[in-house]
Amino acid sequence: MSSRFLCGKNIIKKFGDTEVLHGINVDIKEGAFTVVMGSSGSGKSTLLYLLSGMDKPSGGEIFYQETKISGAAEKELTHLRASQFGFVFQRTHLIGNLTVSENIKMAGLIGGLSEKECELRTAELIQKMNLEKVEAHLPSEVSGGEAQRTAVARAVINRPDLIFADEPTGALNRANSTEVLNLLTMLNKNGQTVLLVTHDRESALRGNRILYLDDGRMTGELSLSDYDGRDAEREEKLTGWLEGLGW
Amino acid sequence: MGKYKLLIRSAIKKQKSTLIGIFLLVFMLSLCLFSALTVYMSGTKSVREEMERLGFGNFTVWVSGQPENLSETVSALRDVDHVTEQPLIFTGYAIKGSYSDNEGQLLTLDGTVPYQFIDKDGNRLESVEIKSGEVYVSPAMRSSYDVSVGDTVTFELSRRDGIRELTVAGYFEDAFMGSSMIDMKSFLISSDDWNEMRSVIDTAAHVDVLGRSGAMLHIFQSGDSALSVQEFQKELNESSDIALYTEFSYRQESIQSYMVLLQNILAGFLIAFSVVLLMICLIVIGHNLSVVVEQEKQEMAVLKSMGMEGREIRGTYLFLYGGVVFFGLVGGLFPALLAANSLAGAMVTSTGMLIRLYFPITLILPLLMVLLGVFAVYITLRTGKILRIAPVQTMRETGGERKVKSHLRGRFLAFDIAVREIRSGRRRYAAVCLISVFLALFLSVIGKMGTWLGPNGEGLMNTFSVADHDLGVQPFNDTVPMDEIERIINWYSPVRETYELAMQNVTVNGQQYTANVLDDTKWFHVLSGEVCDENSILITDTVANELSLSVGDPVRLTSGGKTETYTVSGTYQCANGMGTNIGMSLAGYAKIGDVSGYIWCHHYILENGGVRDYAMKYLQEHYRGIDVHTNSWSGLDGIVSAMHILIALIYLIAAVFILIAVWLAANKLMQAETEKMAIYKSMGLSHLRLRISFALRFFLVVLLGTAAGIMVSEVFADSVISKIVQSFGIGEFHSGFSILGTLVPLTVLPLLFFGFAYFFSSKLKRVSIIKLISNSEE
Repeated sequence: MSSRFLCGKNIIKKFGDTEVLHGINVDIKEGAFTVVMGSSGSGKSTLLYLLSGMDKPSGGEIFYQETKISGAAEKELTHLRASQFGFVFQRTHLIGNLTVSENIKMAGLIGGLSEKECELRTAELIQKMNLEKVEAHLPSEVSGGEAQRTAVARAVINRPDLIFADEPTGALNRANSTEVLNLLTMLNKNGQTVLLVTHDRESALRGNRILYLDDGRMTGELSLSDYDGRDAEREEKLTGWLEGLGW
Repeated sequence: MGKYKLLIRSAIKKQKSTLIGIFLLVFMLSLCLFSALTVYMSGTKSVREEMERLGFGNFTVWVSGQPENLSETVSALRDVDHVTEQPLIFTGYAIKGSYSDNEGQLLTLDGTVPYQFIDKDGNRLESVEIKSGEVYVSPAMRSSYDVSVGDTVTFELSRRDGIRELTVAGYFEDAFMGSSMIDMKSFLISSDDWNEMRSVIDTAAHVDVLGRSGAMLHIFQSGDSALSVQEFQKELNESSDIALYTEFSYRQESIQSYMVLLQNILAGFLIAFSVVLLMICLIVIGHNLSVVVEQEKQEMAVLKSMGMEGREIRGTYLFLYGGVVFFGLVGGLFPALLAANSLAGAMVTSTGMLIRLYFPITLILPLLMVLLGVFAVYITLRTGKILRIAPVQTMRETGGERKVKSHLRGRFLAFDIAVREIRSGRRRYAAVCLISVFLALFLSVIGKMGTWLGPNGEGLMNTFSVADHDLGVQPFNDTVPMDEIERIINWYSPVRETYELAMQNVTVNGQQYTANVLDDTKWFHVLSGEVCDENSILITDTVANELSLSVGDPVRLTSGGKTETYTVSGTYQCANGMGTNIGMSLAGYAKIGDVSGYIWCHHYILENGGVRDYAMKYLQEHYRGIDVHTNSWSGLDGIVSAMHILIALIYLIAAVFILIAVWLAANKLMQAETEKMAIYKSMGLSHLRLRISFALRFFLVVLLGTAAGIMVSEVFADSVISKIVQSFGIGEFHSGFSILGTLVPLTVLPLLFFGFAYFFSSKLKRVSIIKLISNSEE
């Protein structure tokens, strides 16, 4: 839990002449449920894409398990995405002409799992994510919550080292949001490292380490105990901390 | 007006590449169609005008040994207006040491026939004075004999001091024998040389003379004659002695057909191909309009909610796409003239004439209007959906995807994704599939013709010759040692079979035809009915049509003053003279003609046909008084090379069309699938596998379309081609399996689509996964 896992040193990101991240230093620990919070336009999603290698920083360096991934070749990044990173987006971004189970299986096949292993793992995840009833449905035929649970299953089929989640509950109602957050929490309890970007306090409560980003600068960090159901003391601590940051 | 401007400007901005692609497709259609039409129309007009200028009559009859008063006799006939006589010398010749297997005709400038001259670069010369020792030849001899200025042509007029050598000084346009389709060639020489050569023939001893004097009689039908062409020809043959001296005769229409045959074949195929291109243009425009309407649905719904009517929105699309089509069609007109000029220039060695190009405005303008009308109606129909868009339009994110089941295997993931995409979005690929069906169908037909023709024109050789053979030797006098010649042929290759053929002029029901007389009638290629015997004849489909004859009908044959009645026993295949010939047995011909003279050509079928050219060359170089030939003729090379150029040209045009069609289709697909591609990338699918999978979709769809096109071609091509080639006197066409007609399109088309799709999918490399995030709040 304490070893250096994913870290960024002095990360700068510019869009044209506009600098949106101003030399951020960040360290994501293995096994942690890290949440990056911030208001809209603070640069939190930009940071997530830089850390996951989806985008290239304008300055600074990013290391994953001591390997520099900022500036790595597309082939290496593709390999990372296929086997070591999993992504959950705000909009589910499922493949429209694949069924729920095929969407999950596809990620396994791309990640290099054998067909048999893929079948077994897909079946296991469908059960775990409570998707049995809709496994043969197309994404257009399932609810938002089911689609997002499918997206989570897809993200974890290859047992990635790290899940990047970008506002995964942003488009869901409260019940579905809770379901998805429960899933991420459960995965983290089983040792899965999660990096979640959100501007929602309820989602942030699931993390055990909260980073606060304001106008492209890291302005706060809070450590919490592991989430174990509603805990008034934890909630108070987070609320107080956020209020202190002007939230 | 302002709103239309705004809408059109925005549509141009958004659909720039689509509009450019459609412009290019229509431009190429226009270029191909109008250049072919210009060549076709100009060629026909050019030959007709040139024949009129050179004084060809309704009939031109080549005669030899004719009495001096023959022209007057013919002129005196009731239906004849006048006859002009152009003297000539028939003689054998050799070019650069290579003997021709046909006679040539020597002409001279007598001041009445205004020949046109062409320099070595293909430019027309104003006037030329032919000097003694010079000869001018048809440019078609460049393709058939590789003749160039400075080469020597040897004429054999007499065995004793009768060999004359002249130097090629340039080229002239011969409105009949200029075409490489005609075996006999004209040579234009100075009047001094002509007179000297004529005196050689006139003074040579009978046993020595090789050349013959003769004339072209241009016969003009009188204006008040009510006779049809056939009746006029019958009248000439029956009311005068002209048939006794006729070597061959042709109607003005037949001469025109011969002259422009090759270029009409070329133009005809290009026009047919233009129809295929038109279909492709319509498919591409239709597909693009469907996609655009689908993509712009929401914007159109907003416009409607703002009070704009559906027909107004449709009007902007009609104006925009119609405008692009208009500019494409009109833009292709001027380059079409340039292309026609190049085509005509390239054909000069086949047609023997430098076609005077004119722009057939009376045909092209109405055609342009029709094409614009077709496109306008089509665009209007394809944008009908706009009228049905409701002002409040909601679309599901994944709408349009169909649920299908297909394998997803790790090892073949790129392939499996491609199959899934095709199966779940069939309509998106319908256009590409249809394009490939049309292209495959056309390329298969062209390929079948190419295969049938063969690398050396074997297909045509067989249909144009009376009967199969490798070598033919015809002795003209009794000094020719035929036993020795046969021993030599046997030395080159054992002779498998031999038979004899005579080609004699006869009139059938008053019409003049060549009778192919065989001593063994089993060699005729009988198409229907029975082989002929002493009381019957075989006719070609052409003769059957011309004389309205059927199997079993009685016919009256005349030769050398004798007339007999025979029955038509059947039809046979021989396209020689465009099918104007009949087949007879030796016994049958003996009833009306003299079979004892030197009319027989000994035909040999060799065990090893590959040596025939060597044997022919040896015999031509070592023996005089014989005509040696193979189962080929000088114009064949021209046809074969024209066909090969045509196939290459059509494949080139098809490739450019595929390039543009794939560009448009791939762009639209990638636009619609950017998000999907980004998702695959976010899952770790490399852009290389994505590109392969993307290109595979085209490959698979086109493979299917091509297979369908080829199947249609297998079922219908032979009968369609048979109908086309019938006009050239070829009765039957059987292609069978052909590499060029089946395997080449089946491989080339899918590979071209795959290659171009892969090339254009390089954009996928730039699809950023960040695209997936751009929809989120930040």
